[in-house]
Amino acid sequence: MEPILKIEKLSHVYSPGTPFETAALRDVDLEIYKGEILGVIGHTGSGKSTLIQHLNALIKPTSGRVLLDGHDINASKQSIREVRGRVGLVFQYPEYQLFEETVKKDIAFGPKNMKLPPEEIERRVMKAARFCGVGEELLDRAPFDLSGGQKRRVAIAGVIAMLPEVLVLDEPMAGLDPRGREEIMENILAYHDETGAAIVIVTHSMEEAARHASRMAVLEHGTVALSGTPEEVFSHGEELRRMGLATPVMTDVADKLCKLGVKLPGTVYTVEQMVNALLALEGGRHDAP
Amino acid sequence: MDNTVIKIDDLTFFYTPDDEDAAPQDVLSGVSLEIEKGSFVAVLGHNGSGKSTLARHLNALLLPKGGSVTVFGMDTRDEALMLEIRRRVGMVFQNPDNQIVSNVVEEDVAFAPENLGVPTPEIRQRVDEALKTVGMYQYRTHAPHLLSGGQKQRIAIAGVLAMRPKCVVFDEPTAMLDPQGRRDVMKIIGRMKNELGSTVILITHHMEEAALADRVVVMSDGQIVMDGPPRQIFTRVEELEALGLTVPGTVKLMWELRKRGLDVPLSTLTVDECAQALAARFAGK
Amino acid sequence: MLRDITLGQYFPGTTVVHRLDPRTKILMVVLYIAALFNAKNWISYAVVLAFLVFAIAVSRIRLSAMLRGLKPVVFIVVLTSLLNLFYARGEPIAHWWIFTITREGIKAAILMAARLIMLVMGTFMLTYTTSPIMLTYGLELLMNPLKKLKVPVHELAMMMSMALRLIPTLIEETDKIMSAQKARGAEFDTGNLIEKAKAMLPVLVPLFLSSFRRADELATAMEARCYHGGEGRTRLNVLKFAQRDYLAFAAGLLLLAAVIALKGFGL
Repeated sequence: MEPILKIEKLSHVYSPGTPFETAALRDVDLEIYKGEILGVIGHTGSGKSTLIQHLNALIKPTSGRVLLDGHDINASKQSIREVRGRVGLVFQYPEYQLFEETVKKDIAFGPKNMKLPPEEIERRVMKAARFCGVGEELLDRAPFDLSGGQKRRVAIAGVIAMLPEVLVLDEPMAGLDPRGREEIMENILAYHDETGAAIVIVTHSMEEAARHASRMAVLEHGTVALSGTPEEVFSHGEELRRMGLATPVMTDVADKLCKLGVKLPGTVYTVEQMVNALLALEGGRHDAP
Repeated sequence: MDNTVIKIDDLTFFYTPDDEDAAPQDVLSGVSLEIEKGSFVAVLGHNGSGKSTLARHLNALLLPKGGSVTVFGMDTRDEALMLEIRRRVGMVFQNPDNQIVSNVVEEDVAFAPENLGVPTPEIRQRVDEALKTVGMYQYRTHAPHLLSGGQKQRIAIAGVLAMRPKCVVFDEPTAMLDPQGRRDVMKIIGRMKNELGSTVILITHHMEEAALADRVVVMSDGQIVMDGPPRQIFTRVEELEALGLTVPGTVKLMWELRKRGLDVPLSTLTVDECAQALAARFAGK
Repeated sequence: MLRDITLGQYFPGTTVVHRLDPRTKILMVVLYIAALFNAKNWISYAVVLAFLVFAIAVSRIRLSAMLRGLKPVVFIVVLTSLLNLFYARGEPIAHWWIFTITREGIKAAILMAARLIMLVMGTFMLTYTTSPIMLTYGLELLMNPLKKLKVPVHELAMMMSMALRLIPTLIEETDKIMSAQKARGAEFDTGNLIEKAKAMLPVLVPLFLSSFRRADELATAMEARCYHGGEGRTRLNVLKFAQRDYLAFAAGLLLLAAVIALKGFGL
């Protein structure tokens, strides 16, 4: 399958030639495919944030290239403008970037910058608001009057309104309560399912990556240390723990069970898988209600 | 001997609305709670449930509109006791960036003792001690804004410990941290409880952290709706989910298995407990 | 990048210069500036420059850091030098249209550039080697006599140190907000001046809001840590003049005296 975004030998050095010189990324190769959900994991300072800012040309590579449909995104001003429209980037705590008088105007900021006709902007705002569960009654309110979770969803809608083919989110659920986290994740999945956009989620939470990602990339010291399906990645439990990353609780339980002499088939990393694996051990006698 | 260090009696609080005609909305309505010396209490609740507002009453940052809050025998409404109350009840906030006051680590940690007029040699002693407790002593001359989020939060904790408080309230201290930072903060909380004998009140959204407490208090709409040991609270899976909360993954697993008719215990809060219970049930299969 | 602004940034260290009492350093900067403005000729400039170079060498501040700090003032330096170049009267050596360059003009331009650069570098020495808290503490103590005139010295000092504390955070924040708005297609480098100013709105509004939020949270955190104004406060690091302070102060006085003496000799 053709990747929509292809990162080739990407390196990035901050403050080159100064005492603060640091290599944030080294020779990173990574592909993002149409319609996939890629979980990017790594602890603070692993290069995650630097990596995703390369995906829509906010940072230029020190060396290497980022290709969108095979074309270098940094080739020209035009290509940069194009990638900003096609690859949407939601930063951490995006609600702190809201600035317009009304929710509607704020969501329209991206489409407006894309110089779309007014009817199209209107259409997209409504669509994005719907994806993000931002009710019509909120559209004319000031974004600053909303609750934390609502603000977050408005901010994400502001990026979704550009209808990006790749939606990149940096810790989209950070700081929210469990229900808020659940809602945001549902919004993102709705956008993914209906438009077929590729989703890249940067997260600390192994549980969330385990539940939703179709593929994962683990970053350490500016390189991709592990990548593959969640099964493949979570089978490297020891390595993940050595990197200071937590493995999903269910993987930990499965590992312990194995030590206690109960062997489960395959790699287990979600509650659902664990239930099924244990039921299989029982001999499939118990059907789910 | 009375072991109660914090006594909240029928506490009501609301913010005065900007619009004078609007009726004020209660943020806390009729909260009563007693906290024992040396205990570790986790407070859960969805955003807007009143947890943080409750926390801010414990060191007189907010004062009751109705009812009373008594900490270490002192009524928080007594203005003359304000400093004494804040010295006894320290508070760590969510965003480390917004609680660090100095550009040098040790000067930041010294801020509270300086405010309290502690003599200089003793400030030095307290600062060093607090930085060692949080494992940041080697960073004492660094600039905090160049440290990681987890390290900054440890500095903020040291800044509170330097007051030598008897009780520390943590208001979502790990919400903005990565797993490593989160583990470090939880380790420090454990040390404070076990080695320093502090009373710890932890507001959190992370059920795994709450599972480590002696007692879990659940809030919703400005009221306390559940109160008990974690082993008991977390078995009330459906009630918690209805409140917009979750349970630790290990409990969730057991609950799903029980739903399917398997006879497994529900109150397994740790991975070890969970694995052992499952091993006992599935051994030899 | 905004991050490169090092104005008011402290480089921690343990050299003699770092350990000097902030009051000494503030007074030395005052003496140094006085000397600089009394310098009228190559020789006196050389004396002041030697003093500066010596201080930089002892403090082990990298020259690159010093030069980077000059970046924001390059424009002013160039502008004032040009003005001096064209406006000084004297013996013309080149002439073009309405511009006349004189020997005196060249000298004035070079000396003016040197004066400005040395002025900036000298004050940077203070901020590079003194933690902002120490700096404000020093200022607070120096201004203490003003308390008698009901000047809120402690409050001013605290405001200043809070501002200094928040600068790096706000710079980082500005960077982040700009990136986020760029990701939504905002362009900050196209269009005329008015369009550019308008384009900054999506950055300035969130920045103001977040500054207020931060200030509010910081104030709460300070209260929680028993802050209640300057009354009865003690200090972790108490300022006490040491022998080195007297020596440094003497050196500063000597510098000023030397420059004034040179001026007296018409040099």
